[in-house]
Amino acid sequence: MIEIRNLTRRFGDLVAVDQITLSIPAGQICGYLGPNGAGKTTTVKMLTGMIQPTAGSASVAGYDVQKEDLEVKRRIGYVPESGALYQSLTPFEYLQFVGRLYGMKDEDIVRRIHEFSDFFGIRENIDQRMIEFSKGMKQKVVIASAMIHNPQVIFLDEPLNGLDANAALLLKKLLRNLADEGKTIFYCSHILEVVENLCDRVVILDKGRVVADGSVGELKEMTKRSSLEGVFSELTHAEDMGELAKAFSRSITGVEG
Amino acid sequence: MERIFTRFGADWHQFRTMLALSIRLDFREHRGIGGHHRRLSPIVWSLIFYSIMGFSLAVSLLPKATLFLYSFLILAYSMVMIVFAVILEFGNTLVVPEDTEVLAFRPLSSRTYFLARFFNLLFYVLFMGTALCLIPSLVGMAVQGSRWMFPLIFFPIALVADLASAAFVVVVYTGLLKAMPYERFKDGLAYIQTGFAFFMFFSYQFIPRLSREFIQQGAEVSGAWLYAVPPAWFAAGVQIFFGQNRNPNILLACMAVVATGFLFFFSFRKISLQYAQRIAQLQTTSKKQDKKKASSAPLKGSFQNRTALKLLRNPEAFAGFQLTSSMMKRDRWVKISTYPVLAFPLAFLAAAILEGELADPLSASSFEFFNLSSMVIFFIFFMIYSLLMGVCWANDWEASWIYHVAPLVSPGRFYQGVKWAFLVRLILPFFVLLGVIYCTQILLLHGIQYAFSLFIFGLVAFSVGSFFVREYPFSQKREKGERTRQLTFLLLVLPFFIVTWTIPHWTYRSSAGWWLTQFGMVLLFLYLESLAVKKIDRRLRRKEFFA
Repeated sequence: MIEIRNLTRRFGDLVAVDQITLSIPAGQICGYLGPNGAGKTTTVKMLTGMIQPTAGSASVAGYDVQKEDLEVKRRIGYVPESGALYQSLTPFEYLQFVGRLYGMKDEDIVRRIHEFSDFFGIRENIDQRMIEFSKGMKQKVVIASAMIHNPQVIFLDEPLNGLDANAALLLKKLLRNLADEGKTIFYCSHILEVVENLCDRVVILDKGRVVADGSVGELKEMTKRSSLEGVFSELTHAEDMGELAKAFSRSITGVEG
Repeated sequence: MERIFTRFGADWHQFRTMLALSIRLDFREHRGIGGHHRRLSPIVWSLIFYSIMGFSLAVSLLPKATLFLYSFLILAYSMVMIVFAVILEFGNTLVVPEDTEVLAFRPLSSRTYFLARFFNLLFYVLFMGTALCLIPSLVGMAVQGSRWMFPLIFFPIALVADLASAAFVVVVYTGLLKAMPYERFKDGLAYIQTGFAFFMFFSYQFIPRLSREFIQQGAEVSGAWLYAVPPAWFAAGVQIFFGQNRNPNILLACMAVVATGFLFFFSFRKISLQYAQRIAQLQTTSKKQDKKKASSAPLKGSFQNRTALKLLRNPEAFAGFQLTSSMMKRDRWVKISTYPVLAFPLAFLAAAILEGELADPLSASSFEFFNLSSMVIFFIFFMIYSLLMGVCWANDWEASWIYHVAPLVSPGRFYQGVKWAFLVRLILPFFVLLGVIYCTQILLLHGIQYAFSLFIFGLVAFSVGSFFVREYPFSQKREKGERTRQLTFLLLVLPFFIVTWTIPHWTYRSSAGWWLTQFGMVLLFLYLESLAVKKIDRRLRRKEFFA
């Protein structure tokens, strides 16, 4: 469903994504991890057609992201990390606006809006301007907007931002069911526990390159670590966090070591 | 300095840090990710444009103006430009929108915060004032009756006058904020801004006419009206330094001193934390409850929406229409960057009516090249281009990621919806009003015909303006100086379209000829529109999104 071949993106001298090659089949939830600045969001932006690759190629749902970007965009949903939306609008208006951009029929848009508002428990607020909403409520609308057109591939960048525990659980269950029905989920996050529990496969990125790719169990075995946290630290060459934190706390409090 | 600040209840170090950072940010060049795609700060662009305008005005006045008239006109021009800059950039000059999030929880006293902000505003005004007045100060040495010392006298007076103008805006705004219920002020800010812009531009209309009159008469400027015009107060100050110590000059200069002192005193006093919080909240969108029940609301909505849906047909265009309509009704920043633009042509018309100069532009007998009725076209162009240039900004600019992820087949069609929203909600009512005004002033039939032909011109201007569209609507972060830069650029460029003023007159030779011309203009509009759609498609379809 997602095929990536030597995908590269440079910003001036900086190589943000460096020759990534991946293949993600339909029905899989792929966790995409990496330290800050590793190139996760840049990869997603290339796969969603927001920016162009400098080199390499990628196809999503069978379409080339550069040559057939409109076909790709018709088949994907995206939840950005920023969760930004036009807050002057109501959820109804915003979802209607997005539905129209996807060329949906008015009846389908209304039906889907009602379904999503019931699912996320925002039916009561469907006609309030979103400026009044909490971050979690806005996030629910962004998630709804990513799924309103029934995409085949869903890209999520920190989708649990702001969601309460119940809403987070609901979303995770929804993603699992969607994957079971054959949709591909590309899930970027820093919350390793969620990735560990939710994803069928984990790809770890460091300095723009893929440093690990496999199921959580495979990665644990490969690194001989018992948790994904440990796997992540080792593969991204993080120093001993405990020592680092201890030294820094001493420097803050002024205690001589 | 530290002790003075402490006595005043402010922190010198915090003040210095904040002020230095603000000034650095104002002038920092913009860079794309990875260091490429650099461009000058909008403030630097504004300074360049202001310098060109100052130079042009100074050179045009040089051959005929007397010392007082020269000082008066340059001061009037620079004071009005400063007031405009502060009005247009108000939200970004006195309070920076991000401040609440970045500074609200820091140990920063309200006095320190506002001293830093106020001084940042003063620096901004001083830079603008320098760009506007430095060249005219030097050119002024060559004015009749002037001497080498003119720049040394005129330039500091001009800067003080500019600072007083900025303080005037601060006092008016904060005064209104105090006088009106907060919620009403917040919702009415765009209208207050429009009214203020109208008032300022209306007053400004008389300056070139007065100068023309005085230059023609070759007489010394005098009269009781000078006491009502602040630039004359400051110009009298220049006269006194040149030994013109007549009583009227002394009185006028005293008014300048008193007014400046009053404005500075009140602008400092009115700025307190209470106002800081309130003004900061003005940056956010209206929180007014939308009471309609709508989970089952019909998608097509009002008559306007249904008509737009039928005419636009394309769902992308209709999405653009609905988004823009909602933003125009609700987003305070969108309102502030659109409504005040209407004030320019309206103020121009009002001034022309008041002076009895609104002649029939379709009448062969009353035709003059500089007929005020004909010049209205200039302001219509200005208005329409301002709308198109201003539509790219919004508070929620980051939400524009949706354009890059959604399968937008034609951004040009989407933009047609945006333009349609402007047309239905703003332009059409405006032209109806224009028609009513003309019908009361000239022959009824000519009034209707002229308003109609102006409307067709407006449509063509919309299409031509579309060729300059570079960004998706509501997709850009508002930068200090950006609006001023755009409007000043327009003011500099539009006189090149001067020939268009006479078109309605020349086309009105016979009724059939007039209709034929209008028909031709409509065809031109349709043709340009199709080209504009393609142009926007090419420009935006592959645009990258970095936020």
